[in-house]
Amino acid sequence: MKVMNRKKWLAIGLTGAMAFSLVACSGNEKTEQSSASASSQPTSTESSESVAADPMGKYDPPIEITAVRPITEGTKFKEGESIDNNNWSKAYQESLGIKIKYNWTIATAQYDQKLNIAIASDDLPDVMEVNAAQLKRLVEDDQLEDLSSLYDQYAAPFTKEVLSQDGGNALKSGTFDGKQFALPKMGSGLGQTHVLWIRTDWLKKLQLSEPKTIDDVLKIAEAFTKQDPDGNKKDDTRGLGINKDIWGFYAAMEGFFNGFHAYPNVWVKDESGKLAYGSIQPQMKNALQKLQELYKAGQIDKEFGTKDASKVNEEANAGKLGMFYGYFWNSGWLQDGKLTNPEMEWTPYPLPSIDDQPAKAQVPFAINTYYVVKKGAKHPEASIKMLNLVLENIYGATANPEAYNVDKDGIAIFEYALLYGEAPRKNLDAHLNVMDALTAKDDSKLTAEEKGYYSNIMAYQGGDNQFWGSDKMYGEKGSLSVIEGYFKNQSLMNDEFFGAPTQTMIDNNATLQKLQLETFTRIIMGDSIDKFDEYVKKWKQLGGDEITKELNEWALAQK
Amino acid sequence: MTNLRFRRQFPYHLMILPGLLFILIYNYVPMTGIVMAFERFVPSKGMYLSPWVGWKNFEFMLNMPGIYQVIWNTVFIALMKIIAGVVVPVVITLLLYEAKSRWFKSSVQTIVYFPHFLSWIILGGIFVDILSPSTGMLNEFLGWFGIKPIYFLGDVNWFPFTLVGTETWKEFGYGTIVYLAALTGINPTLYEAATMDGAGRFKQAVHVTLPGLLPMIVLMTILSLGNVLNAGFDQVFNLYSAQVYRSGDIIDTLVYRIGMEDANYGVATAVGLFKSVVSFVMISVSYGLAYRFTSYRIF
Repeated sequence: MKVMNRKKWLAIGLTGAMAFSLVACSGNEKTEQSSASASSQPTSTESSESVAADPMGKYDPPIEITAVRPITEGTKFKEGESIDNNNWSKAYQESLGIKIKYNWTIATAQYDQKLNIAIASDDLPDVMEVNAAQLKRLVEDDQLEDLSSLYDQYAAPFTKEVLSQDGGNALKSGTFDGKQFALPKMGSGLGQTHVLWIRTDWLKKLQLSEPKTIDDVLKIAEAFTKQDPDGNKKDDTRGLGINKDIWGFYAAMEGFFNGFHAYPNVWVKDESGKLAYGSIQPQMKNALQKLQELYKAGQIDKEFGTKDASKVNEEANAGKLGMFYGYFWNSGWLQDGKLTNPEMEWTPYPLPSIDDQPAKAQVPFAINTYYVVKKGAKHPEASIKMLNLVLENIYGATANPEAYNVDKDGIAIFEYALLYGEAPRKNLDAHLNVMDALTAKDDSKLTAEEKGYYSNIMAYQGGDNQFWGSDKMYGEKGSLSVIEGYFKNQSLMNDEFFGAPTQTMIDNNATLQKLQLETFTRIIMGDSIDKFDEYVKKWKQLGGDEITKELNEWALAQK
Repeated sequence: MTNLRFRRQFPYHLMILPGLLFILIYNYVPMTGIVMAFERFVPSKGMYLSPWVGWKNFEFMLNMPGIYQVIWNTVFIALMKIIAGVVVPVVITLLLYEAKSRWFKSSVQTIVYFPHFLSWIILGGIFVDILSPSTGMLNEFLGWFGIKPIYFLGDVNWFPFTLVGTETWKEFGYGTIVYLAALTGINPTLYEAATMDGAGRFKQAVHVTLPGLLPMIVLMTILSLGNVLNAGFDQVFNLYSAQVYRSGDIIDTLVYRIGMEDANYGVATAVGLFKSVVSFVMISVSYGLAYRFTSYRIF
């Protein structure tokens, strides 16, 4: 008996030992790798001077750059091509003399995690993309190359233009203590501003005029609810759509609040020039009060609290809803309704205002990815040159989008580029270019992407409702023309905070979000409006004051 | 002697090894992640290098405003679900057992089992429609009896019961199958003897069928007691909204908001560990009680 017991324990011990050694092995491997890479770190910075500061200058002899990167799920390659052999790898080699060696590539979803491991084991490549939190961490740990002077020298004029098209915040967000450590991956905050979508066929039927002020909006909401705009003699239509989260991209209320000069969920500058949280400003109260009245009058769905955006969309497509605030691409979601009922017509309008001051649409900060260079990399300027080439080949004067952006078969070539960015005005410019082409009846000057929109709009004008949604975005009275209007008149309100979240923000976000959503929902549903003042007080107590202080310190450090 | 037997059996014991390894690697090794509950976890530093903060995450959790309301919501909803999850299937099983037609029995069984396979993502959307006070089927039905529309998903008082009701509706078919299976283990001679003693159908159900089911009822209850802090994340997440936070926000939804949306992994792990410890204690206690009262052991 005893013997058996001993052996049994031996077996179990053995099992344990094996499992342990397995784990231990993988651990060892990692440390070996990192020590190897540490020892092979570059020792000198040669040759870069010989090329002078030419943004597009070719390295001769060619150089090799190490990198890691995520690969978007579903990325396709042409026959015989791979991430190491494609139009972009060839362009880097032929135009710039840069050969990229990928230490590893991984699906986008796992990239952050894998990179965190690489950071933890000090196994960084020359160039990589990081998120805001990783950027902050790497800068604090002094692991990144300062790109400030290199950016001035090597960034092409067009690159500088694109990277500062948002007013400079993108670049600033990659700058710490006056040193630029990152090249932001540009994207568009303008695409996340609100427009007001209205059933214009109902508007015509009830002989109402287009909305200029919030009062007009309220009148329209009332008429759409009470005057039976769909003519079915039933009380089954509603004026204004809201989703249960109140905020977001569809049937959301940011646009409505903006009309009251209130800017929920973003940081704005108060009179003294200090950063202040938009959601606690007194203007919010007026907007909430009005929403409460709309709710009481049945012009907002009594059950909005349980309906998410796609539920509200079902109602819009079923012809039960006449108006909502949302993003420019919402016409895509309304396409089904248009196909079932061709009479249905939605038109986007700029945000109406409560007074004679025009409403400013709030613009969230659009950058969440940065390109950085490891401290001590041999050719730190190479990444800037590669970005020059990417922006030039895709959007620049000598662009060849079919070879470098999206080819004839719809293969997304731009996915192969190591550094990438989208000009914040891309969609707006596409709209303008398509409009020009439509007047000239000539699409020869358009990029491949724009040609697609052009032919969609032509098809819609030819009577094919399938492309109605495209026309409502890129066409003459499309939503992008509305946003272009915001841009031209500068009726935009940027989120003034664009750094990595502070510790207090991380600690208290869940509580503060819950507090806000619960309070606002209940106020709209009939709670006393004084609850707003209570909310402000609580928000300040529960970390809000601390966050405000931290962000103002951050803002000072930005200057 | 024993030595010989062991030697003969050794190859068979060896066959357990892959399974053991599997459990060790995938179930035990990841438990080291518990250390995150005592750290201010920084992803770039990893589990072993993140700064140690001791019980700070737990303090933070217990000092969060409204945390006791959330814990209470969780326990209340979970306990109601456990009770309903035992009572309803047992009653249905007893009723089904009495049904004569095999065809009727198996079709009912299949129909009630079916919702078990639907995910809450889908059901969430369906229930918003069915339970709507203005256009919902259920309120229309209640209206026939003169009952005023009830906002099941939006009323703070009704919401927990809506959760329990919908969860029970979804899962009772599964429980019924388990109990029906247990019934096949009851010795038929017991029924014969009961009939001899003059027991009718009802008496038979109470004195033969129910005691025969008891071990299974105890087992299922014990297993579910470990869930006393699991009020059902999928369900609540898909059905709740800001207006019912007061009675519907549970630990898991809170952890989700802290962990996934705010990337506050340390606190999220601490809350998870807290839940596991409570569950462990609950299971141990109920196991002891079960042994004491029914002399039934699972392990």
